[in-house]
Amino acid sequence: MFFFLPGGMGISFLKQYADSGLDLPVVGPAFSFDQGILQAVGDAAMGVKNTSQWNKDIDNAANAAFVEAFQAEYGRLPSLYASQGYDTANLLLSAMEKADVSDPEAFRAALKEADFDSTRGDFAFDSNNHPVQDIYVREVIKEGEVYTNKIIGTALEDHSNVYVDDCKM
Amino acid sequence: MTAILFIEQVLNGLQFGVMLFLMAAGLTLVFGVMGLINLAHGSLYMVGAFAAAAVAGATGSFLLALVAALAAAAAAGALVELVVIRRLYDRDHLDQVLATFALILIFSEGTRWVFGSFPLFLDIPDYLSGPVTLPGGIEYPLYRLTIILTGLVIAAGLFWLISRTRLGVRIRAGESDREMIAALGVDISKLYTMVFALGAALAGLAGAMVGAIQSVQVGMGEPVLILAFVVIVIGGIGSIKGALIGAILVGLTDTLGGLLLPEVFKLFMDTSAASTTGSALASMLIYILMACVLIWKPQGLFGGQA
Repeated sequence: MFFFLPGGMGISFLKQYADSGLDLPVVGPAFSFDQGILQAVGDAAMGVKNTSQWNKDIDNAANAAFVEAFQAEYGRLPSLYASQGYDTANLLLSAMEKADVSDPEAFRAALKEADFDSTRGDFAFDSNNHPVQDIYVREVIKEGEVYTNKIIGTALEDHSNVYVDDCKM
Repeated sequence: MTAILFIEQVLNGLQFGVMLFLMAAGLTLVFGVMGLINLAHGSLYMVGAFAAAAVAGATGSFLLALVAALAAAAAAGALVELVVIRRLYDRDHLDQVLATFALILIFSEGTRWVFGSFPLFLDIPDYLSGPVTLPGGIEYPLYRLTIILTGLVIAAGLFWLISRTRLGVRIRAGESDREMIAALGVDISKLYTMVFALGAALAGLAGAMVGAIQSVQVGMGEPVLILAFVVIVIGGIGSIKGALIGAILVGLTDTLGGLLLPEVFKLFMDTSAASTTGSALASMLIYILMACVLIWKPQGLFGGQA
């Protein structure tokens, strides 16, 4: 059963699915299984597989620093949305070091280089400006009292997007 | 489409309907008795759900959580009535709408401030989770059956309260002539506070029960509020019977419309166009129903003179 329902709708779906008596395995993208949602869904999400470009256990220095700093500041685990915000801020900072913000062309080129340490590991922009990154398979687990995700495999390596060759950019 | 799917959807529609009834009952009483449009009724629904989630998290007991939902929503309702609503009875509807809309904002931000913006965890207790097999081999979630039964029991209790008790007599009297009942020595402002708290408690209970199968989050009350207004307009303002019939009509129309309309359109359209048109029309269906009822009976199904 594949579904994509972020936020409240995803919570409703998973709870009602667990109660319906069906036992087909559930898969979906990470947005339906982020750190905030999982606590509201509870046991109904255990063992569910989902795909994501990020998880807290990706092994690189930027990610380790991010996860640790986030927990120290907010007292909870970061969600993938937080990792995206962090990456975006670092991307902007890296471009600001190379080019002047008042020069749009140069700044755009500096952004496209994506010369920053992403929490996702290797990260680049493809010719149509979509990210080139690994997509992982995660499983919902329980660490102590907290529901979270664990990487159990890599689904796609250095994945860009299927339309990149058709794009005129 | 199978008969089993159809019956399941009828049950879903009933479950949706009785929950709408719990919301609409309070709204219609407040509107009918006090002539007040209370947009903040959805906030009381949210207060009930959050109180239930907090108590369930602390104690692990779902029953205690429901009691907490009733108590917290009733207390919030009584407080709001005493502090704000009381000043609005003599004002026109625009002032009431503005003030109660402000209450929505205050409740939402207040809840966000206390509980944060993440949805809370509130789950069905073990003894009510999982499906049961109904006659005919239909598997249906036990919890939803419980919701239907609870709603019907509360509806019966409300009918008894309104038609057989002294409080009910006063509520009905207050609805038809508030000056006269005050002149007869009934403390009308105390009566109003009680009616408001009663309506709030029902909304809170609905929030807690629905919160266990949906998500408990800030802003959860407003979509239900709009439907509850549709229900009381269809049923006739001030009528509990109208609220029950209207709620079940809206629940069934909404649920079955979403199921049946795409199937109907498939008879003369290709599948993807039929499901697009069908779902688009299905989401309008309750408003079309409301318009038809109002053309036929401008006061609603069971409405008296305005």
